[in-house]
Amino acid sequence: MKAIVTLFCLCFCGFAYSQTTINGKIVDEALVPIGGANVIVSGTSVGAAADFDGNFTLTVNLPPPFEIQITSIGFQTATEQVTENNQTFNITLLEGSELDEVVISASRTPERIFESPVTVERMGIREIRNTASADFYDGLENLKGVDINTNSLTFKSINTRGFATFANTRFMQLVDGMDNSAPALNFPLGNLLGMVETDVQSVELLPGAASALYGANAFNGILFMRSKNPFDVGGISAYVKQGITSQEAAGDNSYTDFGIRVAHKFTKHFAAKANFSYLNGTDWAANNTTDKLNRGLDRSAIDYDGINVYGDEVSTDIRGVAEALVDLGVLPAGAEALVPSVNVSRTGYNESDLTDYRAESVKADWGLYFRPWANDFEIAYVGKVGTGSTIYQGANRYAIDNFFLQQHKLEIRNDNFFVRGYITEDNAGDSYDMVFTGININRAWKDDNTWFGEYVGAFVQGSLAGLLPEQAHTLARQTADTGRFEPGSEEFQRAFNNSVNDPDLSTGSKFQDNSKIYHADANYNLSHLIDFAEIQVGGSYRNYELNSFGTIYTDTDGPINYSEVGFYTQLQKKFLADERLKLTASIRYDKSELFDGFFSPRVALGYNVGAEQNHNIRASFQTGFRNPTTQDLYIGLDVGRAVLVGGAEDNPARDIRDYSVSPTGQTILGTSTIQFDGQGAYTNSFLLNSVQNFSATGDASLLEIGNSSFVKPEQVTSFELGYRGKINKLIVDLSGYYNAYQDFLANETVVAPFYGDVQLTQNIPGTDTPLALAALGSGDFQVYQTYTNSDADVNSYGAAIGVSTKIFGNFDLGGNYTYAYLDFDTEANPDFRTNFNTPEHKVKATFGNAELFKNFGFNVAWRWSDNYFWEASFGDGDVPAFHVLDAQLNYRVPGFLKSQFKVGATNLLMDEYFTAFGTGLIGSMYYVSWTINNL
Amino acid sequence: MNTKYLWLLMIAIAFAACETDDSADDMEEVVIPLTAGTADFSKFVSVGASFTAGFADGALFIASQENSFPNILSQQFSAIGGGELTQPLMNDNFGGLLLGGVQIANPRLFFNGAGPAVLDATPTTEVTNILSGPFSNMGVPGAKSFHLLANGYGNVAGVATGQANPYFARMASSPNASMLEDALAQNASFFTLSEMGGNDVLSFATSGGVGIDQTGNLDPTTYGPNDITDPTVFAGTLDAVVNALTANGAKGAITTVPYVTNLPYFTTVPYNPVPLDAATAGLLNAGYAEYNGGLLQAEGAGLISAEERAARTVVFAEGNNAVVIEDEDLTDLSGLGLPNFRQTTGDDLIVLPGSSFIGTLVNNDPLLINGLSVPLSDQWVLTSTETQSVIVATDTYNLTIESIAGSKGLAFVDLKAILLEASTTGITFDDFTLDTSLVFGGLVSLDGIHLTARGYALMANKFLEAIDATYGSNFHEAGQVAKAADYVVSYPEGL
Repeated sequence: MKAIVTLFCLCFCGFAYSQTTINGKIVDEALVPIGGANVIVSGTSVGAAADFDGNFTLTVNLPPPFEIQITSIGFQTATEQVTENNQTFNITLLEGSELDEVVISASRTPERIFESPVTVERMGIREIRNTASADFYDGLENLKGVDINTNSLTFKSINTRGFATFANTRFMQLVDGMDNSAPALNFPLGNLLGMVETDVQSVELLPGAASALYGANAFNGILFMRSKNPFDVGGISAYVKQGITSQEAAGDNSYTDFGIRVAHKFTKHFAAKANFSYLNGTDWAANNTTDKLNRGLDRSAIDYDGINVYGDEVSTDIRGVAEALVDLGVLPAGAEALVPSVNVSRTGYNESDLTDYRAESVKADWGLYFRPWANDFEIAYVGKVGTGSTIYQGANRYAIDNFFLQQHKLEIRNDNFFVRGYITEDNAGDSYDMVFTGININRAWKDDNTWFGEYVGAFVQGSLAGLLPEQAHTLARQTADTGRFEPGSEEFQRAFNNSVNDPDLSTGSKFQDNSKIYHADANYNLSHLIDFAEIQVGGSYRNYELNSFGTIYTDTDGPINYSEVGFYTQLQKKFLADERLKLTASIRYDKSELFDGFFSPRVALGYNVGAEQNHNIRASFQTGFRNPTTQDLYIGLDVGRAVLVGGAEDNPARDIRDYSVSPTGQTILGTSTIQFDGQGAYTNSFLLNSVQNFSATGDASLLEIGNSSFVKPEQVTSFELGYRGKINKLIVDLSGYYNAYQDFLANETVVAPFYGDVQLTQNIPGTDTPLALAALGSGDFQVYQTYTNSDADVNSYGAAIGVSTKIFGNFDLGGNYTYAYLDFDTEANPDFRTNFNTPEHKVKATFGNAELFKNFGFNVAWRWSDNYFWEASFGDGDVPAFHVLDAQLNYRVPGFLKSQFKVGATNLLMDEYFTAFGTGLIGSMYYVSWTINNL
Repeated sequence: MNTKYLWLLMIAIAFAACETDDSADDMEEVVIPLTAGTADFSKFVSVGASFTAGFADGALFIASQENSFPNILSQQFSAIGGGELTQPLMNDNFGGLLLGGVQIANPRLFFNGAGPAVLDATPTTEVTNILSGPFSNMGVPGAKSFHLLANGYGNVAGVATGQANPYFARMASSPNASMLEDALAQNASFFTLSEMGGNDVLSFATSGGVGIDQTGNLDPTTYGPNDITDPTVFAGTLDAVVNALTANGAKGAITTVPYVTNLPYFTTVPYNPVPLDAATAGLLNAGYAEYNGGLLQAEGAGLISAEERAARTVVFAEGNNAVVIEDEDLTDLSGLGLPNFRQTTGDDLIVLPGSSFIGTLVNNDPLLINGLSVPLSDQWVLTSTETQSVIVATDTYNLTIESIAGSKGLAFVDLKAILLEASTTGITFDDFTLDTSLVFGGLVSLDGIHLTARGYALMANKFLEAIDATYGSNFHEAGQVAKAADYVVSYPEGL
């Protein structure tokens, strides 16, 4: 890597002279300064932002003449010719539309949204100032084609184009080029390691595949956040928000959020900035006690498993228990006939007994920026940390307490290239699995065998004493639960503390991880060297270091390392008269140490129609791919119902566990305990469903061999058509896409017998009973969840249309509709879960006026989501349709620290809703905020 | 179904918390409208014996009557126009009978934590207190087939002498009425005719075969209470009863006779229930040395075969031992002064009361141990020969029943097959698998013969199954059946 950096330095230092500095003032037609307007050199990403008074200064290392573009949201782009050094401009921007905004992410080079080759959404300072949501990240929800899945108050996960659980590993989030995902989890923890609001320059969102430029994981979308460079924007800006969250389950709770940005340009060679924010509140409490498995059971049911009740996941067939007790001589022979073959679950604890619902986010970042030649050549170091408490819902619900994420980046760039390297490290802190906490508090008090034994014993006694089964169940539970640890009691607290500090899931629930990602990437834009087209080349390298101390991954013997590398190039060229036709072609090659290499191409065409070139039609074809996540590859975790064993070729053999075998197994194996590893899941296993069918009928021909294949990358092929245009005062942006997925990453649940081959060729000596069937019948097997790829055809398509206009003079009215459809044959693939998790219809609208009267503005946002079925490892269930209304009023006091005061409320209708099965209901928030100096 | 691996099913494969993918939509139950088919349940009369009456735990009492299978059936019938079933309810939940203030039948048994025990209570049901009927549940405990036609079977005056039945006496419309007459008088539109033939073999079996197999004797008035009824007598009776019940066009259901020897009354006590140490075994062997020697002489004299000599030779050893019985079917060697002794084999069935008799001492003499040094008399053991008589009679009765059921188009409930299933693999009833173990099996009540409430509920469902099959009704499909979870397996001491 070092060599490459040196090489780039050598290449570019030579161009680093001949500077031009210009300055000016940007105003609108009413001569009101346009703060935050962007000034960039056409065809590059170098530029500056105007301050609150509309003034700007820009220094570039280009000799005049060249062209600058002046853009601001809501205004038409203006261009000016720079002809001499120290030129001064007085620029008036005409009121324009959002299509005139400049985005960088879509082609890795600045371009107007209007002519971006793919669908792209943007949120700038002005939108952030006017959003009715509690913060800018929540405000993304109002964009078309975007769903926000709410894990908790502080952890929201973005879903574009479907197939997203809270672990949205198909979505990528970049902050100033750094991938935000936590190494242990492979997805970004919302904005918990994101950006402080006052440092946000712009947020761009690309729904759809972007692997051609951004590599693996930029699969269904990418969120691209840029901060303000301290050379461009200095001074102190800050905000403070105080409000309450209001939810039926948790009540009214205080909510505080403040942040500060301090930036200073010390010299023309050195600038620095630091950001800090602190949020404290109470999370949305999850107290859903309905039956998790959708059987309609309530708390009085014997096999109750409440959604947010933990410990009751432990369930067993009591007839089997009775048979075991009879075998042991604890129950009299024949007594099993009194015991029904029904599942009974242990008594669980409410989630609220297992967490304090503290929501906290503390973020800080800092950057040192050097411009040794006072031009666009910049060396920057950026550090970022995030800590706090939140809730994450994955396979279980996790209380993420005192987690610590950090990133450190070193970047060298100028207008034509960048080279950066960064490291991301996570530390799970005091995080724990709430489900296993419930389970293991129960076990600490009374182990499962004893509890079920007492239950069955009491059931038999009750039946013989003349009780009906229902009464006998009640007696049995009372008997088995006698002496249970009551929440709040000293013994409960002790068991809780033991559990959350113990990473062994058979006794505890601590979530332990300290994994790292090392990442480097580089990009070189050749446009200043080559004229016939704009050509870029780039590459990236990433190394994972997984370190969970054997608790999540199969890394008992030390960290697991593996790496990925990728290279890409892109060509952009405009054709025809007025350069109406724009072609963008990219291709990227990626190679993971674990898999064969992949080429992902993208071809996009954009054509401007109309005399005014007010209409743009775009079409693109692209492919994306996604490498299996660290967990898909290297997990080795016993979650009770199954052992999760990752599908990397060398992984299963490392998942070694001890098992005791049945008397039958002892006869066959000649030993009472064995060591068995996860290889059985991938090389000698049956599909779980087929084993259940076999168990129900005794028909061995129903057994199907599992033998999951090792996991490999998943691919998507995407076609997109779109139109953007201005029709009088109406701005329209519409697009449609079709995605076809291949080798969809999926889980299989398989049963690996401890002995006998699944082809059933090996028999118990001297009989014609296959050994593997004897193993199934004797309970000598392990259930595994494997990570593999599905052959099933998974396709999806959708469309989005957004319109905006001005009505009644200067009121902004916008609306959008998103359609998403999963084209998948569920009946033919009953075992396959796509986790599409996206409503078919979604409608959003905003109405506002930034200047209703002098310095006073308001905005109202309304969203409606159709109902949909949520599928994820924690549980499946319906998410009903919901309406949400957010609103804010703001008043600016330019003379007083350039203040903006805002009063806002989210979910004004106070109709609590949820976006995913299993989470707390989302209540309302009411807040007032004061922001200073944020342009 | 491939039965080769059936044994595997007996072992539950327990997957902790197996998740189902059922969506909420799957939970909606489809309601199937109930139909009676070609049957008319408006007037239901049940005719039979103790099962029909609801006998359980060795007695008849209010709670057990409420759980009689005809009563459970009538609850299902009521959903499709069935009228009320009237029952001659007992006076209490103790069970047992008084005749003129004298107790003639014991109170019921209950589970005292260790085993069945007789309830410590005095019955209050006075036989002479005649109830005014009519009663549509015409189940009379103890009634044999030919009793249905017997006038005077309900005459209180005959109870003391055994000429009349105390249960029928309580409910008979007049002292001279017969069961069939009282049943016919109610003009049933639907009837069940159950356990016909049951008591015709059961009393022989429960008495250890002390009675006589009357096959060939066509005059039932000459039969003793513990005799096996002649199949021809049975056939004639059944024919008359069914003809009479169906004369008005009524539909009905009829049951086969199970092998009563599958009941826990006969299967609970093993043939070799006595554990002995070597010293005691030696001592006992010494006591039989003379008898065994005599057998050798008899064999030598050609009086018995070597085979019989071996079968009769009494030998005890360390471990579990068979008991010694007196078997009237052995060659009479009293001429040599040798009694008809032999030890039990696996083909012999020791009756349930034997469990509390074997091993007891005669006159507290430690040398006189019942079943060991003192051979058991005939009443304690149903020998294989006697069992054979029961089986042969049962099979013959069942041929008649099946033939009449076919010719009259009656619903056919094969109790024989049902009990066989229960006593071998166990029989599934909702979430339960019931079997014929005493106390714990859930099917048979504490007396080892009659059913538990859950057992009667299962029996009612089997009737419904047969009725559905024969008359095109759909009780099972529509879910209009008894649920196992609504019926107890045991009546508590205090009720």
